[in-house]
Amino acid sequence: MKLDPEVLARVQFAFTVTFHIIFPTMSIGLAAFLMVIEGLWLKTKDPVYLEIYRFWMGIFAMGFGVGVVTGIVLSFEFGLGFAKFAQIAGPAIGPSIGLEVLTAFFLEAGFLGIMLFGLKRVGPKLHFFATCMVALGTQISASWILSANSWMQTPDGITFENGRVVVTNWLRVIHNPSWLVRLPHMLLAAFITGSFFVAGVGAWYLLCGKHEIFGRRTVSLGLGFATVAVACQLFVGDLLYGRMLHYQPSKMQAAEGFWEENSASPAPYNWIIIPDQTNQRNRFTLATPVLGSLWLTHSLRGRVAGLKNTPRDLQPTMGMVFYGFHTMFIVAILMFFIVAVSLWLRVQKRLFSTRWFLRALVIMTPSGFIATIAGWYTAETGRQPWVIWGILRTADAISPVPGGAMLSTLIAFVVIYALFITAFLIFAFRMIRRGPEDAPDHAEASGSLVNALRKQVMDHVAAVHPGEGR
Amino acid sequence: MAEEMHWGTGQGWNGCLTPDNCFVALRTDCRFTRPSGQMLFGAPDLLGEAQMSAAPFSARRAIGVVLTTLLGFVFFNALLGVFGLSAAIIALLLFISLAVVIFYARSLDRTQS
Repeated sequence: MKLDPEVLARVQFAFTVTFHIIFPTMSIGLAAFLMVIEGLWLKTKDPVYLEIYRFWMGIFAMGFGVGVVTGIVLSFEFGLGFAKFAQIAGPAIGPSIGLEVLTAFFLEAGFLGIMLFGLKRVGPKLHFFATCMVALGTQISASWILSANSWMQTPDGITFENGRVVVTNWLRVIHNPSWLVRLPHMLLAAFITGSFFVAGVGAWYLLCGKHEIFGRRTVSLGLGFATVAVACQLFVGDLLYGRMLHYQPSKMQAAEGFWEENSASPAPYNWIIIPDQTNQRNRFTLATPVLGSLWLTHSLRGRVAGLKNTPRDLQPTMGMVFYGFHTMFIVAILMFFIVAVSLWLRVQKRLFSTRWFLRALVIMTPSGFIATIAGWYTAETGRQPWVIWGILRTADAISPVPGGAMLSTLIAFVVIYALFITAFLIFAFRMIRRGPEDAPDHAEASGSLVNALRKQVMDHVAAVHPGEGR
Repeated sequence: MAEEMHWGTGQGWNGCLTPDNCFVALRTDCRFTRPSGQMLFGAPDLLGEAQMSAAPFSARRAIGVVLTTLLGFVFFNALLGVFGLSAAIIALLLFISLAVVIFYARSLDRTQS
């Protein structure tokens, strides 16, 4: 069997980036959440906010650490699997990634230690400032990465000289046509992911009858954030749809599952299709009449363009793009339903007592991660066969390495990433199962071995002789 | 209050093996009780779920549900830009304002604990 290095390089990057994106999404969402929680604590001095802060800070710290480690690999993969891409596009992409390190990583690295270990070592205002800086750092990091990726989607501000990209206008490279819409789309996705994660864990505590005050407050705040963010996301998502329809029509044609140059009028909205790329048709379609015209053209009788408008050799694979997009969109519909019902239940004063709703919240805990990954699959598979839209094909960007070598590194990444994700899940579940009362006190347990040992001894004494030792 | 509560299949967690058994909690109707058997979580007098469930079906409630569903559907479509960009911006501002008003008006510690 011949191993295709192009396919393996793409699978490898898809695999590593799929695992990686979980953690920055969580970090951005949780950092913003922690910033608000600490602000509320400073304002109200309510100890529940501090309890919430300490509990989620532990999970944030783990996610942040794994995110950094899994992200470093991606930079190396440019050289490992896509050396020609790095050679050709390096002058435009490299500085964005370098600036991410200089601006975001330095900011985060400078304040993360104070945030994690300084709760009892620095003043509350300085600690809050550190939390704000870490939250800002995660968002600056996302800005640079989104700028680089958006440039690959909608390249601008460059010219070609001797087969390499030469930047003619840096502002247009960074501020390319899709960046200003894709950035809020991604940041909102992260906020929503964090909100549903937090609300889901709180709902689980309420279902189990554990940590009731903590659970109520987290469900309430999580849903509060989610309500605003989901509404904004639907609005921004539609703006992005229009923008990508203009710049990358084939991506959106594939995302909607239409083949013919013009659909029927009014156009149905496809929910399930079995696409036949070879014969350029769908073998099976499950659709809702008229809804396609309404949602995609914002009119009752509008026609939707299909993938046959794009030459065959420039078409993305419809199945991947369609199901990526529809997974994201269906999860978004479910999220909107949840936040709308939460408002209704809040008015009815039944937010914490409606068990089916709490169960739904628990089920929706990973929904943000699923939608984010599905969205990135849409963005990346929909751009194919280009790695830089209209400039460089993916097939021409691959490193000249044999398929066997690519396969061996892929296996190594699968093993290492499986270890990372397993360790993260084990520790995260353990922390969640223990609950906020047992959240680690970073301020005491860190920095000083004597402090850590003293805490262990005191905990032991308290367990053996209740009433003593504290 | 935590010391007053008992965990276990017999007197606290009806049908649940341990308090940490998360998936059991999703499948079964776990109740948190005092040793006397008085329910704390999910109790009708505290949270009102049983009262709501037992309440007779009323036309007023049905109309309320239908109108709320329609309102949600209209908001969803407006946010998606079906009625144009201006309507989408207005819907977004309205939805967020509505959410903020409800959030503050129904401050949970005051109304539900």
